[in-house]
Amino acid sequence: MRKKSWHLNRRTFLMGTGVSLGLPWLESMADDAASTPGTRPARFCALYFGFGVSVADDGSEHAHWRWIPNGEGKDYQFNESLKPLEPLRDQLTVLGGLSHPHGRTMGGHDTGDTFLTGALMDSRSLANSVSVDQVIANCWDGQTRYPSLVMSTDGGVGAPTRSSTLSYNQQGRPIPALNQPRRIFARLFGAGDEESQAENRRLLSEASMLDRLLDDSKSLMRQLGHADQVKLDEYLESVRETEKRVANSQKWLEIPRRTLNDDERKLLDLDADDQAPIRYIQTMYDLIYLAFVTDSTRVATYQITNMADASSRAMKFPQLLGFTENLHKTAHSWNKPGGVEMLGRWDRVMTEQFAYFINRLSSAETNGGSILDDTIILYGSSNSQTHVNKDYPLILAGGKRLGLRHGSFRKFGEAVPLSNLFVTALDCLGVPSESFADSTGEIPELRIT
Amino acid sequence: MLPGLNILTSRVRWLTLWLLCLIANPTCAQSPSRHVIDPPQEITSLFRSHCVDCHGDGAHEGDFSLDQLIGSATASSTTEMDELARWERVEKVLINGQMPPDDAEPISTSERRSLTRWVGESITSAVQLRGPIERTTLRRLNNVEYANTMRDLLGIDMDFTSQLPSDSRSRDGFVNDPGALLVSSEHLQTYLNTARAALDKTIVSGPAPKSYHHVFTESDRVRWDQQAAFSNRLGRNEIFIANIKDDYPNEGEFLIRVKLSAELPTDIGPPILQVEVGYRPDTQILFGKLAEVEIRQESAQVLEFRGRIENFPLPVRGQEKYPGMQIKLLNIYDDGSPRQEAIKNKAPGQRWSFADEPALPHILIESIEFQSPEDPTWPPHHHRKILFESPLRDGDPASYEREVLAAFVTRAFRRPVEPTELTSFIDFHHENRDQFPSFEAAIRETLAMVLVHPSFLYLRRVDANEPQTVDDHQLASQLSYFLWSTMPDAELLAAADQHRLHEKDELLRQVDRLLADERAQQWMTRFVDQWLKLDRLANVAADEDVYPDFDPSIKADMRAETQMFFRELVNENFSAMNLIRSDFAVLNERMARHYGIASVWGREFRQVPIPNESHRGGLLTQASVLMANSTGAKSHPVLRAVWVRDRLLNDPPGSPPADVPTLDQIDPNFAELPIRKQMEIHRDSDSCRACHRGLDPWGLALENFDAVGLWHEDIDSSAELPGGIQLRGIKDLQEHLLQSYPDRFARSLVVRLTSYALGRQLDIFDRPIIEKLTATFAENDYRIKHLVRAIVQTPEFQD
Repeated sequence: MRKKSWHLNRRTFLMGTGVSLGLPWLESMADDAASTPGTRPARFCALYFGFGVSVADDGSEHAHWRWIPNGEGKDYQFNESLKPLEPLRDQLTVLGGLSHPHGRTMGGHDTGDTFLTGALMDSRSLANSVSVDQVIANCWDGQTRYPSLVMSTDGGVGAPTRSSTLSYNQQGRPIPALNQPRRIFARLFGAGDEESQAENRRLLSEASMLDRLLDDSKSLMRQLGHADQVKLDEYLESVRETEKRVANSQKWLEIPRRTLNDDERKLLDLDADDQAPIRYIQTMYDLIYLAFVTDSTRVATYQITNMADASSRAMKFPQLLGFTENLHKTAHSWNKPGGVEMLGRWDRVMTEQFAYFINRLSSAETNGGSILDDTIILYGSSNSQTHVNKDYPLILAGGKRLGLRHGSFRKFGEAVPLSNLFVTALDCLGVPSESFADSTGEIPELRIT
Repeated sequence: MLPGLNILTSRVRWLTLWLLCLIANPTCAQSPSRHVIDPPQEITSLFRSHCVDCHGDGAHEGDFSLDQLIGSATASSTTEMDELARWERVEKVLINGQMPPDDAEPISTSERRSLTRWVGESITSAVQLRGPIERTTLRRLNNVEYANTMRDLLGIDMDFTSQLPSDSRSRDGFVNDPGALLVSSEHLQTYLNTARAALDKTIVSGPAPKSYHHVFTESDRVRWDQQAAFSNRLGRNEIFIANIKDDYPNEGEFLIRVKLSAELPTDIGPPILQVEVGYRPDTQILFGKLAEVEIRQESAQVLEFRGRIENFPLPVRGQEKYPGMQIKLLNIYDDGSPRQEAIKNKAPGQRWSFADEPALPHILIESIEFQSPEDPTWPPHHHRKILFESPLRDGDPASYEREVLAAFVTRAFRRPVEPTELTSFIDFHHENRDQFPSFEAAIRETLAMVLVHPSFLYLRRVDANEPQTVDDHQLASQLSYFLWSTMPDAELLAAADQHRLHEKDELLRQVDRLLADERAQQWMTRFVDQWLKLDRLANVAADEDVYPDFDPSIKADMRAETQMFFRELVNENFSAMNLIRSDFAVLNERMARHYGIASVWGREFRQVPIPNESHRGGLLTQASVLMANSTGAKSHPVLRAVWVRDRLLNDPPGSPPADVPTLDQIDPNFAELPIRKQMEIHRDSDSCRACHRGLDPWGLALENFDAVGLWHEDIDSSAELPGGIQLRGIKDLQEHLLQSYPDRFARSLVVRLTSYALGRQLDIFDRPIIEKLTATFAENDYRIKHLVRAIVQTPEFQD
């Protein structure tokens, strides 16, 4: 029963970490939405950095390093750290004053885990809840090869309150993030590395195992009284359901992956690692871009940096780029001489990469529009100034075709929970949700009326 | 509103039983018009004179009418099940005195007694006539049983259940009911993932891993700025710390061996050694606790602790900021006395120190040894247990595989395995063998299939083909999961293999052996927890304004007190009536201090005679029960009353009616009134009276106990039960229960323990066995061990 090796190679794993198990619909697989004229799939992408930004005082000598723009509404002005976004101001909205109400009561470095969930995590309970990206992924499950692409610089799940993933499943359990470009590429575009072969093996063996369990259960069934048959039927149902999942996963294996063209390949620097921060971050952005262009998934999260201090691979990023302090110290030095500017310059480094990503998406055309217009992007942090769990620095970009209105700096009060933004996004994306976490409604002013 | 409303709300269950009944005996569905129970003339006339005014001839107060029970020809839509359930309601309200109500013509005691006796006997004989009923007896292992079984089967310890959905409880609060224990594809997927992960650890491949060995004889103080609390001689809250920079494994079992002695002053508790492993300082969880043990001897001793390194929060490698993995030993004993500030010695370079506290216990650490792997042989014991030595191993691989699988499947299924059953696994293994890179990898996958097989995941008690014979292996499992919450051990299986377990002598010998084993702790703690709903304690937080000094960690001791009290009754063969009132308590130092009882030292629970002035003794005086049924700020008489009626007397009051009026309509200042006054108004309200006059007194009599179970004098704890029975506080309440309700209480315990033992909710068809067991229980002075022995001998347990 050996398969030809090319066959194995192009099988990829569907149950591995990072790319959670896909449940493609048989009907929809024939319908490659991205390539069908007239249909333009919606997408969602969330990007996060830890420790917040420079919040230099208005009017102080370093005010121009303040992340928050000056003014409000359409006539706002970027300061230095967001300047790279100037050419893109029609593609985005800067949001002020939003945060998760639960987060406001949590530890200063503890809110990274709840950026996309809005949950309360403290010493009494470290349980999280589902993240907004996974609500979308579940709704769209089966329409693409992977329901979502979950990435972070550190990879894995980290520890509670120092999570290294943004994504949480329906039960609130962390979804392990991928962090090695080569492996992410292998998953998306099929390379026969050892691990994906192991996953293929498991998938094959699982199908056969479930088949036999079904047979065994049926013969067991014959020995049981009726009442127990009813009970065992529950088990049989579970086996059948799991079988369906495995079978559907296998179906995707038969559908050839979209191959990358030379330009797309050239983009990638799969050897980028955490020793070269800019190259690494850009490569991760490129992988999201490619995943979207090839319609391998429509949901992506990337935790660029987190708040895990010395155990985070990103802690050294500033120093590798010539800054004098590590990331945590940089964030904390906003009130030290020269600190505001240092932090502001770091913010700008991050903004430059973000602008790179937006440009990349806006240059990709499908069916007469840019992927950017079909993608809602949330970029930001769960600290404003480090340790302060409110007034999250946030940018909402893309998604114009989905009804988002851009070009302004909008300020909100604490009465508006961040989850309202999620409900708004869910609605734009066609994922109907009355509410999310502690939401109290939508934020209508973000939408074209 | 009548009690017993729960019968109506559990319509689903009745429906299920009804369907079963339909299957088992199609005629019972077709003949609804015939009464199962026909009251004789003198009984009918008693009902007519006392009840029918409100509950008959078309009247149906509280949504209850007797017309369908004692009416002559109008049995129309009533089914047998409905009828029996209704009779049970009648029996209940008569026994607990709720009916007839105060404002009706009173019924004489002898009339009441003859009615209840007649109803009870009629139901029982109707059920007996009805014959056996088919039930669901197949149930999956609950999460605790699953984890224990995986651990015992594979011989490794890991967290087997963190990914599993949590178990639901039956209506009566038990976690072993077939109806409540569902299986979904989420379960199946998780079982499979867990099995694979566990087998990866159990069956090893490749060469022996690097071994690690470190010995520390002095606490590391250097990294810790000369901290005073770091020492080899551990006074209260002092620490011995050992750092292992990088030289520790990422995975696998380790052994920590601590050589120590102690200083144990008199009239104070022994020191408590806490062992922690980890150090992930950038997170909320710095360390994982490995063990906590009291040191009860002064002379030198060696203690050994085992764990798996991947279960602890370890620092990320390759960073420089943190010192590495740490082993931390603490003496966590604290007598609560004020502590002096640390003092810095004047000379430069000298350490900080604390003033010596010679009156407190100390632990003297001589050394810590860290060793990994814990089992220096390779492959380790859990691997060898499955892939054992055999002459076939090299000579005849195919036969060896069959041998290995047969042995494992037999253990996993807890019974002999038919060759046809084995074929499925062997075929699967053959199909897979060449796909997997190694023999070990392939066999792991096959064993994973065993661990998601229904014969592993489900307990099965009946063999429908041979309903009359006792299956020794099913009985072995039944016993073991009842008393140990895990698979049978080798000795029990051997008795089953020899077909001796169904012999009465051997069965009782095994029961006694299981009860005497440490693992019997499993049923005692779990049963008590579920019966008495002690888990509620976790949901009640002591109000910080009312109890500023309350340490929430004592809630674990409260829970343990009740569990240990029950255990003491079982082990000492005391009467279960001690649960109502006892002249001893089972306490440790913390609980004794909580109750103001002096001179009990240490964490261990032991029998303590109750001082004359104390009001303790029995469940109703235990802080666990009192606090679990309080608001955290105040007592809660209604909650406590419901608990007594439901848990102790198995007579839960019905739910409040939907149209409950708000009481501030009666008195606008209602919320400001004292609780006793509020409850009086409440009982006077027409829609509340019927239930609450028979309910509130049970809780009011406990009013001397506050929210955390502390006693307060000068509190009005008087109450009047229906029938004019006056209760003045806890003593009267206990006396009343012992005098008037011993049978009701005993029966409640029998129902709950039988339900736990059988792994299902009991119902009306279990009446005969419950009555028999209750009678035997009483004859044997209410000794719980006797009850356990009686339960395992019932046909219901043995099938």
